[in-house]
Amino acid sequence: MIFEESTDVILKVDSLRTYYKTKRGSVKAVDDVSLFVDRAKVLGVAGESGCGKSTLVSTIFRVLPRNAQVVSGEVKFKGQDILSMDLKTFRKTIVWKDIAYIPQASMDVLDPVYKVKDQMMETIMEHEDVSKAEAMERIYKALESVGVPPEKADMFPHELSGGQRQRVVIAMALLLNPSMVVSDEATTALDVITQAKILKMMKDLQESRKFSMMFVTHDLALLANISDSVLIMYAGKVVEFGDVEKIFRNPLHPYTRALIDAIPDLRLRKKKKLVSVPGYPPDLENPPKGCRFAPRCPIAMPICREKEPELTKVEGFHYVACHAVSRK
Amino acid sequence: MIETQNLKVYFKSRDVVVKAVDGVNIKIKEKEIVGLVGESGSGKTTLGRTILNLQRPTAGKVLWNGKDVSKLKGKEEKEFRRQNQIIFQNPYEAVDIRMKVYDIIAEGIRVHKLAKNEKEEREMVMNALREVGLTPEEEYANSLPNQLSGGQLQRVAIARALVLDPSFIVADEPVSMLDMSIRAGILDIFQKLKEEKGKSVLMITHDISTIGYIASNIYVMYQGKVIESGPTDEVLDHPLHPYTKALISAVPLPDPSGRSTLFSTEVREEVEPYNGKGCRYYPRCPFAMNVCKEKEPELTGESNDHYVACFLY
Amino acid sequence: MNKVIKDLLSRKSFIFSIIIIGFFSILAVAAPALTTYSNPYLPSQQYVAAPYAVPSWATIFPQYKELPPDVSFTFTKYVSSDSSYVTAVNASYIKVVVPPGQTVNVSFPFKWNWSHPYDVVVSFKLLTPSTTSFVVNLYFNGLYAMELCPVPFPVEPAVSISPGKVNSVVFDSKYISPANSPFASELPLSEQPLAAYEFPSYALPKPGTYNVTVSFENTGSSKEVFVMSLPSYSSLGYVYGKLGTDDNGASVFAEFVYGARFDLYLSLLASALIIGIGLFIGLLAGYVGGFTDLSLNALTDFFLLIPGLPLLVVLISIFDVTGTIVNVNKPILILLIISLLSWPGTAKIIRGQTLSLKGRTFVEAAKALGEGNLRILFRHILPNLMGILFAQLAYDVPGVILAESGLDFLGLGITGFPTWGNMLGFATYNVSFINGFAWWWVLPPGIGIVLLSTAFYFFGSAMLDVLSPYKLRGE
Ligand SMILES: Nc1ncnc2c1ncn2[C@@H]1O[C@H](COP(=O)(O)OP(=O)(O)OP(=O)(O)O)[C@@H](O)[C@H]1O
Ligand SMILES: Nc1ncnc2c1ncn2[C@@H]1O[C@H](COP(=O)(O)OP(=O)(O)OP(=O)(O)O)[C@@H](O)[C@H]1O
Ligand code: SF4
Ligand SMILES: [Mg+2]
Ligand SMILES: [Mg+2]
Repeated sequence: MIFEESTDVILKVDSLRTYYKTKRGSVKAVDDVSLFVDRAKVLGVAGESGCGKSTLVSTIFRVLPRNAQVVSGEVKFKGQDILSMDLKTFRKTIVWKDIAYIPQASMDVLDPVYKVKDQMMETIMEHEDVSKAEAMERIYKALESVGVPPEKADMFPHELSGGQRQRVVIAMALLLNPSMVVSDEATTALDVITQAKILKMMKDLQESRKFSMMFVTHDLALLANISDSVLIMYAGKVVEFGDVEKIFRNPLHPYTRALIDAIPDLRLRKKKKLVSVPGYPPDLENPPKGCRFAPRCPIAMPICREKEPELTKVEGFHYVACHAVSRK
Repeated sequence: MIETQNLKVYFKSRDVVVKAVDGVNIKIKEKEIVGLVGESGSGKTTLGRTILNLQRPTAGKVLWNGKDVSKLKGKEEKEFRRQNQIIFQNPYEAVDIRMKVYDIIAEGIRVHKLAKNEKEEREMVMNALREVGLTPEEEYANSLPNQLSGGQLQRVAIARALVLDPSFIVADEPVSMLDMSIRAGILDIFQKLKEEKGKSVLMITHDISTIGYIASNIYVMYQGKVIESGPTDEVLDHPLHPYTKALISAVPLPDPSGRSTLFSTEVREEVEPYNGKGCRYYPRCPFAMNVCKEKEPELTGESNDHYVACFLY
Repeated sequence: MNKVIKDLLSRKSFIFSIIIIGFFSILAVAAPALTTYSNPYLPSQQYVAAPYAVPSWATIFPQYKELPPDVSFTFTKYVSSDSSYVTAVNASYIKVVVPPGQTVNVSFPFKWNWSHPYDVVVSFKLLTPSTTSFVVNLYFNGLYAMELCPVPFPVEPAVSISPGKVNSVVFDSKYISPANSPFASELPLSEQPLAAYEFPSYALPKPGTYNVTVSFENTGSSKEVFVMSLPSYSSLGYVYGKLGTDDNGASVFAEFVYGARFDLYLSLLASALIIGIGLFIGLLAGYVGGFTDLSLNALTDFFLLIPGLPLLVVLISIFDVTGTIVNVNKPILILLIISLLSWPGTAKIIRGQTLSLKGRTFVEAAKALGEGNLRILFRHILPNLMGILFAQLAYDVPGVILAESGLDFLGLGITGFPTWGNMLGFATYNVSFINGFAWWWVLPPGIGIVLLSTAFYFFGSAMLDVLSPYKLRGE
C-alpha cells in the first residue's frame, strides 16, 4: 500500500502477515497490515487486547517465537528490507543501535541473576568500543533520566519495583542513541507523573535528534497527547489509520469510536458510566467472514458479513476500513 | 477486616537501606474497594505483599480479623491463603511458564481441595476463564502462557485469584494491560464481587481515572508513606496534598489539542537532595516552606475522614 | 518440546556431540556382538595374534606392507626315506611302520612367501606304540626343534609323551627354551635366553621352500607302528583385526570397545550420583536458607577446596595398601569416591538456581495460593531445574571420565579389565620396550577420552543454553 502522506519515511511496513502455527491451524495475529513512521514523528498503535500489536512489533524486531511465521509482506527500515536481512547482521548493526525495542514483558527481559548495571554494561560493551568508566557514567546518566535512583544500579532486578524495572529497560533502550524506539506498553507500570517525565524526555530527543517512535499502548488518552499519527487495530487488521487530530476529532470506524467513548474521564465520572464493547473479540484462527468487527458492530449491514472492507482513504491522511464509511 | 498497624518494611541491600513501607496504617472493611495510588517505587506492591504475609514486616503488624497474619499456623494459615488472594503486577512473571493455563488456574483448587472431582474442577476453571472474557475457553485452557498476549495473560492471573472465591483480594495493577473496552468488564467483576458477595479489594493502580469509578476510599502513597487518604470523591475532587494535586492534573486527557500541556505539569525536578528529616516531598514541592525541611508532617484528619500529611493544612 | 529440539538441532556443536555420544553408546551396548573377547586382560583371551600386530587396514602404509597376516595350513605332501614304511590311513592320517633298530624320516615340504620372521607353531596328533623304546624327533628345516620320548632323559631337553595313546604335539617357537628344545640347548650359553626370538629367523629367513621333518626312531627289538595326523602349521600374524594387538597379543579393538562400555557406564552412574547429592544439598541450602544454607555452604566449600585428584590417589592407595576394604569391588569403590569428591560444583549451581527461582514471582504466587513447601519444590522449583540438571549431568561426565582414567592410567584404579585409562597406562608403559610406538594401541583410548569428554561438554552446554528457563520465553 502506498501512503502519499509519508514525507520522510524511516519505517515502512507493507502488507505484513504474521501467523502463529498451532495444533489446530494458524492464528492470524497480523493480517495484511501496512503502516509507516516518518522521521521525528510518533506513531501510536492501539487496539483490543490480543489483536496482534505485540506480534506486529516483534515481527519488525525479529524476535518472534518459533511457531510464528511471516507469511508475506515486507518491513523497510531506512530503505533496507530488514526481514530478509541476515539475522546476525541485523542484530549486530541495527538492533539497539538503530532501532531499540522495549518489549511488553519488559520487566522480565532483565535476567534475574545479574545486577542492573552489569546488564546495561553488557548492552553498551557489545555494540560500542568505550571504556568501562565511560560506560558506567552513561549508565548512571541514563538511569537518572528515567528517574531511577542511582543506588538501584547495584541491585538485582527483583529488588526493584515493577515501574523501576520498566524504567531500567527504557533506559537501556536509549543507551545507544537509537534513531527509533519501538515501545510495547512501556509505561503501563508507571504513575502519570513519572510517565510524563519520561515522555517529555523522549519528546525532547525527538526534536533534537530526529528520533522516531512507535508507541503501542492501551491508553488512548496518552496517545492523543504524544502521537502524530494513530493506528487502530482490530483482530489482526488495521481498521483506522491517520493523523492524530483526525482520529480523535472525527473517529470513523465504529470500533475506534467505541474505544474513544470508553476512555474514562476523571471529571465526568459521576455522569458517565464505564462502558465496554459488548461481545467478545473474534477467534483469530477462524475469523468471521466479512468485516471482523461485524458481530459486535452496532451499525453492521448485510454486506459487512459478506465482504471484507478494505482500508481506503477518506480525506487527507485518514484511512478507514469500514463499509459504512465507504458507502457515504 | 484487614488492618495494618504502623507497618514498616525495610530492605537492606548491600549498604543501602530502602524504606519501602515506612509506618503505614490502612484499614479495609468488608464490602469495600480501596484504591492505592502513588509514585512508582513508593512501596505499593511491598505493602500488598506484606498484607498477604508474603513479606515479613520490619516492624508493625497486619491484622486479619484481629489476628496477626505472621503468626498464623496450620489450618488457619491455609484458610487465610484461600480467603486472601493477590493478583501480581506483572502477569508474565507471576505464572509458571511451563504450565498450561488450565493447570495454572486449577492449582489453587487442587491445593484447597475445592472441587469434589475432576469434572467439577474443570467446570470451575472454565467458568473462571469465561468470566474474565477468555473465550473460547477450551482453547485458552490448553494454551501455554507464552502463546497469550499480555492482556490475555493478565486475565489468566485474575481468573486464578477469583477461582478460589476469596473474600479479600490485593489486585496489583490488575488491568494495566487491558484496553478500555475490556477493562470496564473486569472492573465490573470487582464491583459485583463487592456488591453481590460482600468481598473487599485493595486495588493498586496508576490509573486514577478508573479507580474513581470503583473505589470507595483512596490512599495515596509517596516514598513509603501514606500522604493522603479519604473517600474517593473527597480525594479526587478536593485533593489537598501537593503531590496528589500534581498526580491528578497530570492525567492525560483524550484531546490532541492539549498536547503540550501533558509535558508541563506542575511537578518540578528535585531541586535539592532530601535531607533525611523533612517532608519527603519538599525537594519537589512548589509550596515548600521552611518547616517542611525540618520535620515530617503527620497524617492528620482534615474533614470527614479525609487525612493528609502536609503542613499546608 | 518441539522447539527445544529444533533449537538444539540448529547447533553444530550439539550435532557433533550427539554423533559422538551416539557412536560410543552403540559401541558400548553392542560390545558383546562386536567382539568375542569380553576381557582381553585374561590370559585365555590373549595371543589372538602376535604381540604388537598392527591393524589390518594399516598395511596400506608402506612400512607395514610386508607384514604377514595369520598363516595357517595343513601339510598335505609328504616324502619319506623309504616309502614302503609309510602309508596313508585316510586323507589326514598316515601310518608309519618302523622296523626294530631303525629310523624312518617323514618330511613335509611347504612353500613360504613372507620375508618377515614369524612365531612358528606346528601341531599334530600322534598315536604312539605302547612300549617305551622309541623317540620321535621334530626338525624344522634341519633345525632340531623337539625331542619327544616316553621316558625323558634327565639331562636332555626332551618332552615326554605317553606311550600307547593319542598325544597332541605342539611345537611353539614362542615357548622354546634350553629345557624343552635341543635347538636352544645347542646355542652358545649367552644366546640361549633369546632362543625364542631367534628361532623364527633361522627357520624361515626368507621366501622359499622349506620342510618339516618328523623322524621316528625305534630303539626296541620289535617292529613298531605309529599313526600321525598330517601336521598343521599356524602362525599368528603381525596384522590383526581392526585395531591390532597389545603386548600380550590381545585384541586392542576388544579392549577399546569394552573400555568404552565401562567408561560410559561408570561416568553416567557417577554423574547421576553427583547430581543426586548435589541436588539434595543444593535444593536444601537454596530453598530452606538461613542456618541450613550457611552450614551446607561451608560443607560444600570444604569439599570444593580439597584437591580432588591428589586426594583420590591418596585414598585409593590407602585402601589398596592397607587392604582396609578387601572385599569391595574396585569399580564401586572408585565410583563412590569420585562421586563423593565431585558434587560440590553441582550443589553450588543448584543452590544458586534454587535461590533465584525462590525469589521469582511465580513461586511467590504459588505460596500466595496456599501451596506448601513440598508442593512448591516439586511442582515449580524442580521442573524449572530440570534443564539445568540434565545439562549438569552431561557436564559432570567429562570430569568423571578424566578422573577415573587418570587413576587407571597411574595403575591405581582398575587393572583387571580394560578401561581407556589403563589401556593408555599399559601402552605408554610398554612403549619404551619395543622400538616404536604402538599407535594403534595408544591413540584409540586417547582419542576416545578426548572425544567423549568434549562431546558431553558440548551436549551439556547446548542443553543448558536451550533449557534454561530464560530461553523458553521466546527471544
Ligand atoms: N506463540 C503463540 N502461539 C499461538 N498464538 C499466539 C502466540 N502468541 C500470541 N498468540 C495469539 O496471537 C494473538 C495476538 O497476540 P499479541 O501478543 O500480538 O496481542 P496484543 O495485541 O499485543 O495484545 P495485548 O494488548 O493483550 O498485549 C493473541 O490472540 C494471542 O493469543
Ligand atoms: N526484595 C527487595 N529488596 C530490596 N529492595 C526492594 C525489594 N522489593 C522492593 N524494594 C524496593 O522497595 C521500593 C518499593 O518497591 P515496590 O515494589 O513496593 O514499589 P511500587 O510502589 O509497587 O512501585 P511500582 O508502581 O513501580 O510497581 C523500591 O524502591 C524497591 O526498589
Ligand atoms: S508538607 Fe510542605 S513540602 Fe510537603 S507537600 Fe506539603 S507543602 Fe509540600
Ligand atoms: Mg501485547
Ligand atoms: Mg509495584
